[in-house]
Amino acid sequence: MQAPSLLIVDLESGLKWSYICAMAQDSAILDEVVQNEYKYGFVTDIEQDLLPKGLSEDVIRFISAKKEEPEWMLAWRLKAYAQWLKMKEPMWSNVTHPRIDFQDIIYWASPRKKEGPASLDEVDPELLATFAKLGIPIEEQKMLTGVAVDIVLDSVSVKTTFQDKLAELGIIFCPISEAIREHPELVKQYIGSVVPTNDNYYSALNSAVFSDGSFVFIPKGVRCPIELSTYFRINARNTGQFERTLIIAEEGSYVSYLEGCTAPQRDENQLHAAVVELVAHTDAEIKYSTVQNWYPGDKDGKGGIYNFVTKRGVCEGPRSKISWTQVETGSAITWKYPSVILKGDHSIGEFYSVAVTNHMQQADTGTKMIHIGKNTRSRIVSKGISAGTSQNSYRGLVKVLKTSTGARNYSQCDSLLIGDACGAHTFPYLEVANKTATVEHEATTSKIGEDILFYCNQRGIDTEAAVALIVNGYAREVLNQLPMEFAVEAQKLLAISLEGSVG
Amino acid sequence: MSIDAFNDNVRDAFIALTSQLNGHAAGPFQTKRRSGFDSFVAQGIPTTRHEEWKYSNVLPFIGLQFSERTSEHDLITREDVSQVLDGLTKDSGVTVQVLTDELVARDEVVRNALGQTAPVDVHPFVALNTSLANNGLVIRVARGAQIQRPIHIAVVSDARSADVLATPRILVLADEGSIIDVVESHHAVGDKISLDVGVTEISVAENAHVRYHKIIDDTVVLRHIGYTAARVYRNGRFTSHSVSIGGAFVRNDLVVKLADIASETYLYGVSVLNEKDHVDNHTVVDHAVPHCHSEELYKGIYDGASSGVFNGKIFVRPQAQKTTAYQSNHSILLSDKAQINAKPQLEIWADDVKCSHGATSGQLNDEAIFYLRSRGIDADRARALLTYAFIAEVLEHIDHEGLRLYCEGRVAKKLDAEPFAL
Repeated sequence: MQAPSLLIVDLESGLKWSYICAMAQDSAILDEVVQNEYKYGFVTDIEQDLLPKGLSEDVIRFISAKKEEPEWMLAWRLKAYAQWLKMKEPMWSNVTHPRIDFQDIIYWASPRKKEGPASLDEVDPELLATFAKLGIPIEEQKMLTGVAVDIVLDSVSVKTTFQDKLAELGIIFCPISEAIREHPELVKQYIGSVVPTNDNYYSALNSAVFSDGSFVFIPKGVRCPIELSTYFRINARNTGQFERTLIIAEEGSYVSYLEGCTAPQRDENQLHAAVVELVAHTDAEIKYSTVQNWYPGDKDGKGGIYNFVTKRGVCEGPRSKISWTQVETGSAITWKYPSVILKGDHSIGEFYSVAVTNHMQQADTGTKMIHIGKNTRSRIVSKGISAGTSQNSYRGLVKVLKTSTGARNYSQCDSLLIGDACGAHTFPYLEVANKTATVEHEATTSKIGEDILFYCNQRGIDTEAAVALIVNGYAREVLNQLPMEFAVEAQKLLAISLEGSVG
Repeated sequence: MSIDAFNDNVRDAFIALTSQLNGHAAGPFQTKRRSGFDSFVAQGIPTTRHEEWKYSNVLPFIGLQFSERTSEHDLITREDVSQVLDGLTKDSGVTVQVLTDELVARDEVVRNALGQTAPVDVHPFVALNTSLANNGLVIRVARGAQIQRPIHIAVVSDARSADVLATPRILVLADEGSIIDVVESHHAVGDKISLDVGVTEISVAENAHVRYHKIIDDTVVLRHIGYTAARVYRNGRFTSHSVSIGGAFVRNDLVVKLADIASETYLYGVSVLNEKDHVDNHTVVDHAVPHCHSEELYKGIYDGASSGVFNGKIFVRPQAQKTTAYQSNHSILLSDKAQINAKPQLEIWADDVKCSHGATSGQLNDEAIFYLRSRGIDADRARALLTYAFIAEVLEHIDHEGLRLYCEGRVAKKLDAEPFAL
């Protein structure tokens, strides 16, 4: 594709135009990525420590023992398991999939156990090769970007960087299994406090069998100097991933946490049921960003990840703030509602989301904002893009309790349809029980205008590139919320996800 | 009393009705009733765990013991009805008939229309109504007839001596090119409880225009669960005005199917509630074919310990390209105990569409109140004026002047805004 030779900047929307032209020139990068049907579809061959398929109390005891967990943790898991056995699989969402056989899942897999490597040389070279393919050169990241990476390859965290530097500030950033051993008092206090074990079917399952995840603790008054980042990667065949993440921001602290996901190409469905809990105390702020790009299945809907995640944060203290940003392009089924409980007075909850579905993908995602404290504010911006024969739903709840005087909410959810066989659905719930609350919701659904495409074509931008431009512009309000390195990746992902959807 | 007892009650009533049919026990109406009864039993009474009944709990009055015969004397006798019907000028183009077994057996149009737009399986209460429907009304508007005066159907149930279960069934069949205003209102007399489970089916033929008005303005006696279903054919238009200004429990289901090209529908609704009123408006606009248009505007004012529900669904089927559908819902809460639950839904399966919805909940603008006060209007009156203006924006869409003035007057009275009624 040729970049337009003409740069139109003297229009009213001059900025937009310079953006479009810049993007069009950048399409060489797009072409390159688009060649691969799924760029990150490869399997790393590392010897696995596997438990037989199936779930029972013994499996939970095994996992707990492998993790060298204290007795209380095991008891907690077993209690969750007992609750899970009594629960029914939820069926209300706007997605369809074959029944999941929970006895057909391997609940434990870990890379070959070695003594903790002191340097990168000691790390399995296969792993390092995987990281290279994923585009995460650890050394380079250490030196250039200042991002600490806690890589979860399957179930065991292999390498944590920057821990020393963070430790100087009193910040704890480690695998949750390590936190259970070394900071049991913190974990015991907070785990399950935001998402109770019996909250829902998948949170109960996660609580019983979670393998690993991240633990972050930011002490009082500390502003975490770097973006904390974890790359999750599902790697072993038939391994359900049950991550558990817990982030605690003490009074007046700040942390930005990034979560990014890629997974190898697979034919069999894989279940991912993570739980993420955030706790923000007085004046604290947590920013949680996700780019999710798991294997979505092939064009006929075969394979792909089931992403059934429970994410919830609580603004515990006054003036605290939690902000969720997500870019969801992958997974056969995405089913999650990152939520905020606005308990403290003047606390703020935000949710920014872009969900792209193509081919046979299904997404049922949105948020819940529960206003409890006085003068609490929430803002929801959701952009859904459906193409192919996919289904994309926004489902959100804004609940203002009697106690929440002066609550304020603004929600905007837009859907873009590409192709005549896809669907876009909006299910917002507004429950207001306080007269001083102001709640606004608006939603639109439309397709990309023929006139806009024609305008781009006329200026030498082919339809596919034009769609990529328009979609990026459409999602910009959300992409702007992402940290820089994520924003770049997210833009590419949007374009790749929609490849083949027009023309 | 429990759900089981209620079901037994319905069963007894169904058997009693069946026993009175004489020669029509095997007739087509009875066949429809039987399928309604079977469906009612299969669906059961919904609890608040049911998504469509999340905010409206029917269980408190399901427990009542409904008697079949409510009093020694019928409130309105068959003769009264006949007199009224005869009073309607037959040459005006409107025919009003009583929906009997005999009529359903004899008249193919009525037989086909009954249960077509409101099939028994959509809703347990539609099934209940169908299983006990008897002596309903059929209103037919002749081809090309343009009826100037509205037809008013007032459903009155007699709760003077015992709790009563009413199941009024209304069919409105507007033939090609006709225009008619229909008013439906529900009332109860007495101080026992009246559970009024109504179904109204409306068919709007090519180029016809039906303007439907449903007014619920009653005492605490009435519990109303109403289901109105309209089907609009080519170039037809269906306009609905739902005015709810009272009632202890009101559930209005309004389902419009745009069944042929270039049909359109306009749905307007207001809820003006106080004390312990509860009004639940459920609307569905089903875009089944291309080139159709729908607009919806619902507003509510909630005072006292009242609660309101708005659940508006726009459904665009895969083949319904070039659809335009707009919906908005606005609520104002006036009291600390009032609440509103809104759920505007879009389900879109076609891509070449323009659809939007908006929902807000808030309070009166302090600056607007200040402005009025600065002009010598006291705070209470300023509030009344602003709330009235908020609602009047919906009512002004009522085409028929007499009906509009009537509705505006009722709303103004409820809001104590009479001096400002324009």
